[in-house]
Amino acid sequence: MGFRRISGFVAAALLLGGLLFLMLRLPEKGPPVLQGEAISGESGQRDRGGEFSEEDSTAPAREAPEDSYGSLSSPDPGLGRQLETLRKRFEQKPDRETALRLLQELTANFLVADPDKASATLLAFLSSGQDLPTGLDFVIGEGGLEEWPSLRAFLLDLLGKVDPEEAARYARAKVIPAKNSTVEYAVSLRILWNQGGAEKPTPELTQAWLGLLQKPDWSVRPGAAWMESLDFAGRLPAALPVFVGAATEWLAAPAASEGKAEAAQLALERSARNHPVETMGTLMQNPAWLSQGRGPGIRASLFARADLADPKQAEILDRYLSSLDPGSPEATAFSKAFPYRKFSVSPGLSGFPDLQTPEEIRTSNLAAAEFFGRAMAEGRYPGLRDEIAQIQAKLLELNRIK
Amino acid sequence: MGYLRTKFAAGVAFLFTGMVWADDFSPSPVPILDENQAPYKYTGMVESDLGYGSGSVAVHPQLVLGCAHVNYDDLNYQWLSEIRWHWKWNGAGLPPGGGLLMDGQYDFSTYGTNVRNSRWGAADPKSFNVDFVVNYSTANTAGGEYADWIEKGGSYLQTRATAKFITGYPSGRYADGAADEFRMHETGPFSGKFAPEVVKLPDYLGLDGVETGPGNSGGPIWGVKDGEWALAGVLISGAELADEGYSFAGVYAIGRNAWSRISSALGTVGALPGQLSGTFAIAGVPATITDAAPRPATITRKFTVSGMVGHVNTMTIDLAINHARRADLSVSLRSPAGVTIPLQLTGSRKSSSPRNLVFTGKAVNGFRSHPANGVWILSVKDSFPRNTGTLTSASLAITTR
Repeated sequence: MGFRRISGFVAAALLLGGLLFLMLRLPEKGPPVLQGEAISGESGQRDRGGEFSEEDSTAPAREAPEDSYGSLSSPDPGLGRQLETLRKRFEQKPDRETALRLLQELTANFLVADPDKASATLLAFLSSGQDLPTGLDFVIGEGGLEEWPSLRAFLLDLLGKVDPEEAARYARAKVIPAKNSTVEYAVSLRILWNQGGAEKPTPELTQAWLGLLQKPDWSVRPGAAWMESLDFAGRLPAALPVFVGAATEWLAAPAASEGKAEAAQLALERSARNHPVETMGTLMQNPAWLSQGRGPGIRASLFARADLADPKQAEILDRYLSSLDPGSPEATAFSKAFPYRKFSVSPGLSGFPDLQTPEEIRTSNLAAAEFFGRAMAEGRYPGLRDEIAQIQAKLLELNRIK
Repeated sequence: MGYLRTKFAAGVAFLFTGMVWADDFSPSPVPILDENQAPYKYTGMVESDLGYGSGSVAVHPQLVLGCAHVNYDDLNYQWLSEIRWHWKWNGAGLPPGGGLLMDGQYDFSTYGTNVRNSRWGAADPKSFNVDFVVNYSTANTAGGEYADWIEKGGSYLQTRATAKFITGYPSGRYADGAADEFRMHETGPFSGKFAPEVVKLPDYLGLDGVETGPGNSGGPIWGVKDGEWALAGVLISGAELADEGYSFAGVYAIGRNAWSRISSALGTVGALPGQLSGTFAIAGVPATITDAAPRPATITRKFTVSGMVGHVNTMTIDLAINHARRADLSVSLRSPAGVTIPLQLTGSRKSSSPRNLVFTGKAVNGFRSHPANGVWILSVKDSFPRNTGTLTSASLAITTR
């Protein structure tokens, strides 16, 4: 019976993983850092005894050309000293807690400083080419990026908060064309997305994202930043054919995919939620896509997300069901999954997933019951009658208990 | 397979050397009818269409919390969609069919965690989330019987509080067909101190010395809040190897993150504490908008948003600026997460004039689903010389979901 699923193995996997993780990542201990010794500052206090005074800025008011980057202001000496202190601290390889504290303190100080001066100071540092590892991972949390593996990645992300326009210019001019660092590239994608209002995909972002996806030496053994960048697959429908082609390979041989198969599953899930018509439409373009390994099951679950209250989605699902091989594992997977409402709610590089409301779910369930009832009455999909009967039973139950 | 899993678990026992051992507590059946008492009455069993099951807990009319691995078919690498909830089950044998068919689930998978797990060799696809899941239904899950939370469950579990116990269904401790095989069980109370340092997963805590038993995962762990039992976490992993002197409980602690994510996932107003709408005035006004001479000048002022639950659903801003030339100005709003969105200075109220720029209830788009609480920063930038002005007032109205 099912209750034989022993949870111990989960603990074992997690714990052994944790041990290996710690063994691999134990930081070298640096000298102790006194509280407030380094980049100390009072969060929320803009005036800090002249350290942030505006007297050092002399650049005249002017408009920056669109195709260049460079602050309209001059670097602030006080902020510059803080950056230099930070750099020296990271030369000493601080432990994880200290590293996080140093970065949080610097962030707080820069966010309350004059944005133009802060921007100019960050740009000057980035342009210097200096960098150091932070000993941290690449982690996204509720409030945006929470860990950055390199100092430059952290400062670029901070520039995106202080001065989004300058950050976007820098990303366009320096990071995207150079393709030197997946981490900085991932941060740059986020900057470009946020600058566009974090709502609508742009051709520029699509091209930039495809540049990351299609760089062979980055995708062979991807790091966390590269993997997190797959979140944009769910935002950029124009890139879907390329992405689905890549995902087909990963899902055909998951063991060799270095984790990309699972990440692709998550990205496709978000794509099907954000752009259902485009996602299902893309999958219908080529029967070979998602046809091997785990692919058919994933494909079935993506179509099982169709909201049949939307005529466009209903039309595509009709074509999918007409093409589905009766008795195939994919047909079984579809009937077991529909209506499929599993969502990952974790934040991604492109923000948070938009979830269905209970009212949308109710409307969708009623529309689905009508769709499949009509299909049975009209004798559509004759080879799938058992599967459809199974779906109808579920929908009847879901619609009755509301 | 079961043997390998057992040995694998045994292999990590040495990790706990040096930790303080808790009193050794094993599960015992909850007396029949006691399932109607708090907090047992919030516990139930979830069952997948593959016949797998575990404990769960009702925390809201639409939400049942549990462990993710019961929702996952690890032979076919698929998340399962047919999950049934049996509220406060405490009988001999499995529930006789029925139960509440849940509409779906929210999980906490991330791309980056997956990478790390693959490199550890723990390439189990489901382990790329924290093995914590929220099953949801648009129907009523537990007839008004919903568990209270300890908002800082992680902190609570890391103390040596004398009152903690787990409820669940450790069926694996019994032979097939045993009378108590599918009874609700209680483990504890115990006073052990859960530790976070073993596994670096968000909100994951472990404690050695508590015997749980297969099947018990997904069950709630209880602590005391205001003299009543309240949910502190959900058991997501464990092991029972009494013959080797090793036992373990791993929990996903309820914390602010989980609370916020679940509130957001819910997408509707429910029995959650906190505000779902609020208006917040800007601090530090009136403020002079410095002229762009000799260079562009920016002033920033803060909205401090607190007490909201969930994430932004809608946002509007009221704004009043006095300035001789509005074309000199650009205004933007930065979220606590650091995302900045420019505000268009068009569509101002009819009473506006070139010197008196007034917006009322202007929609601010682009922050939907962002965390609401924190410091939001309004920036007013003057890019051209010769004119100055004043930021007179501003307020931010937010609804969350």
